[in-house]
Amino acid sequence: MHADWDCFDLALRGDQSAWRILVERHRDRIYRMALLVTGSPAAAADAAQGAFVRLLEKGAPHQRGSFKVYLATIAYRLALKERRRSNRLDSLEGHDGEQPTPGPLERVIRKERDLLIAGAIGALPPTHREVLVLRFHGEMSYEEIARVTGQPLGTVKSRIFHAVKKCRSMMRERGIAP
Amino acid sequence: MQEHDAGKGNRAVKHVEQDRLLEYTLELLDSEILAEVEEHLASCADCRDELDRIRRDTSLIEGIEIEPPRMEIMPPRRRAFRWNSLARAAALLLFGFMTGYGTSTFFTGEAVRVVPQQLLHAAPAASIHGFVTCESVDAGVRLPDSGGGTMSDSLGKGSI
Repeated sequence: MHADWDCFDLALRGDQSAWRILVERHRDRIYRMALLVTGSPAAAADAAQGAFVRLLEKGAPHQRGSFKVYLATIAYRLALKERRRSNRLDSLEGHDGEQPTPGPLERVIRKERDLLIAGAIGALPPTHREVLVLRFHGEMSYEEIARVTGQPLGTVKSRIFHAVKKCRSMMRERGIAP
Repeated sequence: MQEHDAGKGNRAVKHVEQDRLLEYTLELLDSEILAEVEEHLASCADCRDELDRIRRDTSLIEGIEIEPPRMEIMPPRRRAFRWNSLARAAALLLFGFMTGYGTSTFFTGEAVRVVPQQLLHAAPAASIHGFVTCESVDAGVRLPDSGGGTMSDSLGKGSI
């Protein structure tokens, strides 16, 4: 089994099977992270696809750290862009008082419990949600999160603490956690 | 640590606060407090139970199952693209060279070469009454300082 960077090097030289392995290995995690940042399956799909395309365009960095973190950082930034874009579109389209199409998340999250947890994460303040998503789904260390978000390490640690505390509280309210 | 009533014996037992256990789970504690918490956890079943509940919740947050839609993620084509670019650049250079060569050679006539001719020394025609003598100088003709002359002067000199 090739390590991620080895696969990536092979993929850059045109090895399509190495590329498929890499995509299969990381696609779900990247999509899940993008979904929790954007809250929209369509925007998450765009961000996830864009992340892989951007990965190829950028090539390997000079200093190779964790491939997971490298890819997650690209995906996170694209997801933020997608979220801003969809927010802009929402504000341009306005709200005519009708309820939006019920639960776009339900199309991709089948388990009721996971749907409720995703809803709880989505209800967090954006700054807290991002830190939680980068930690739990981007698999980043606090130092890496601080670097990616541009926040001090202490702020990141404070945010993750309050994010998880708030999320647990909402999970209890929704009957997920005892 | 937080004091709790342990039950019938009314013996106050110190437990680890819930927030502290959450910090422990999230690996936010510095080494000194971490050692204290671990020491307590080793001997307190209640705190271990609470810790298990926190860990269960965080693993639920971490383990959301999502079915991603089908995504068309294009395979890499960087290598092919590079070769194509190279081939295109070479073709362009070749075309430029051929065009330049063609316009410089095929579409202009033979170069006109001016070769100085050795002037023949011959007597002028009988009908010419006056003439000037000159000598050939490369591609041009230089007139002598002295002016013209008569037919009789022309013998033995170049003439036009």
